[in-house]
Amino acid sequence: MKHSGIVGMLVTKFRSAIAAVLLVLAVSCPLDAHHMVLRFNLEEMTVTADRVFLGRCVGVEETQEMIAQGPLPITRYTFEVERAIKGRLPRLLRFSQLGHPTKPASGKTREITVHGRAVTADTFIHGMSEYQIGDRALLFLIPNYLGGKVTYPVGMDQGAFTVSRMPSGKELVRNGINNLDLFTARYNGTSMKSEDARVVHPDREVVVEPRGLSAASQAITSKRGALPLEQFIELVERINAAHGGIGGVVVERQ
Amino acid sequence: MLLLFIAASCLCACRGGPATQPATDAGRWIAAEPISELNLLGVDMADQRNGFAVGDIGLMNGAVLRTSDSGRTWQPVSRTDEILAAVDFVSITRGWVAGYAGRIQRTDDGGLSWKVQRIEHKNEIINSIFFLDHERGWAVGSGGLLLATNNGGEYWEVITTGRAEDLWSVTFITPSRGLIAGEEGLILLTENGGRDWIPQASHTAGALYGLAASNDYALVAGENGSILRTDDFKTWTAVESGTTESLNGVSLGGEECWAVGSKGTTMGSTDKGKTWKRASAAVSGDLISVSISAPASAVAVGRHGAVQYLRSE
Repeated sequence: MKHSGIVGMLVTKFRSAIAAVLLVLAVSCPLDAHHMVLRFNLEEMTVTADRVFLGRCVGVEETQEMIAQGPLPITRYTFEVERAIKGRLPRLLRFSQLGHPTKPASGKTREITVHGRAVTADTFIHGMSEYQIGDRALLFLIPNYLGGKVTYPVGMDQGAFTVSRMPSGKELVRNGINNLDLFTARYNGTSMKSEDARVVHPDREVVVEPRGLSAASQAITSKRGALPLEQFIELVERINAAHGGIGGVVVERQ
Repeated sequence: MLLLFIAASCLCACRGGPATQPATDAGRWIAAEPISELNLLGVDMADQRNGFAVGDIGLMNGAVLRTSDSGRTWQPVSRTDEILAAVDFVSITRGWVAGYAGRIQRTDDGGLSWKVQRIEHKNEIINSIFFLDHERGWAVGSGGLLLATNNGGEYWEVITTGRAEDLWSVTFITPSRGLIAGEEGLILLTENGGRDWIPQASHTAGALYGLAASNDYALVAGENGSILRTDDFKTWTAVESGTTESLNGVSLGGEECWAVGSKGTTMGSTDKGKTWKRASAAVSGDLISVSISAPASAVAVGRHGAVQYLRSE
């Protein structure tokens, strides 16, 4: 299993030195530097994730954990799973991500901010998604790594979709890059190659294989910005099934 | 890092390609070599030769590119820490860019240096920015976001629109009259300089991505190939566009209009948008933005570095 992003590459290639490297990544990464994160289309995102679910954040705990050879800052999130789309998930799903989330900026002159939020240099990982209690989100989580202790959404912010509701009642989802390239990004090879594609074909005239999809779900592939939640989920379920995945299940215990 | 980016991008700077296409009434679109894997999300021609394009380079970074030969070749002039989607220049030296972090930057030297005028705001996405002159400008974005300035961007005021839809494009015709196009067929009109915005009947529920206006008419374009036009800025009428592909951008100059969209779709009009004719696609990728700089002179940009420019016959 490959992981996306520099963290994943380091995990795969340098397991013996992972603790030291991650520590360097976590504590000394310049704030204006950016990890090289791959762009994912929705099919590769779905295949790469081992858990896809819609849920609401009900718990956030910042702490440290001994990972490999040293303590690393992590944030433990608890989500109440509303709908499992891929994977067997407990009703209350707990997972941990490296780093600590940003805080509201105070406006003090020496404060370090990113996207208008205050960060602490030794616990911040640029691009790592974060959630606050009450946030409703659709998450695509990679398999746990570093001894099964941590995870993160596929493509960092790309695999974390926040849910918003229009006055009409229609619910929309959007990731950190405004859903850019969800149907146009070429396969990056993290989990699959373009010849393995079943549903999303960025280079073809018909971008999404229409079989098994409603007209409404086909139509979202040409939309820009936020996408309708129900059609989005239908498309993800279709992709998962096309790759032999079993539909998501919510279980009482993990 | 910046030098590396510039060096690498220079290698990819496009040269006018041989892919000439059949002419339309208003000229012939020519594909330029794609600019690497950049997604180009916005373009604005400051004059007939000089223009600027913005987009993304990787997950979280943006780029500004400049052309000095009407879109044939492009050179990177700046890199930013966010994906850029909006660009507007009022001269070849002064312009603004904005994108997916709510930050707005201005240049007064043609893109060589940039000043951050509005800091980043988490979860704010700016889709369009427009300046009527050197001082008065507006920007719109996700979730009904509307910003306004009357001092060249030194201070940006958040204007409450009461809208939750994504706003895709903003333009002003006079200091008092302006338009916004957005999701779910939204067209907003102001007649008092942006203090009040009145929804207009569009008779469509589709997203309206592109907007362009002159003193005597305006156009919006969007999903399913929809194009609407108005002569009085209040009564909008759907016109036959000749395509069902999504149209992402529209531009006009005099009687000439161009709309661009998915899969290289390029539609042209020479009668103020009343009738449209398809131009043979010069590129196959999605086109996002188009800018007319002079009669039969325009540039369109899009995904995966797609660039095409219009040359008069």
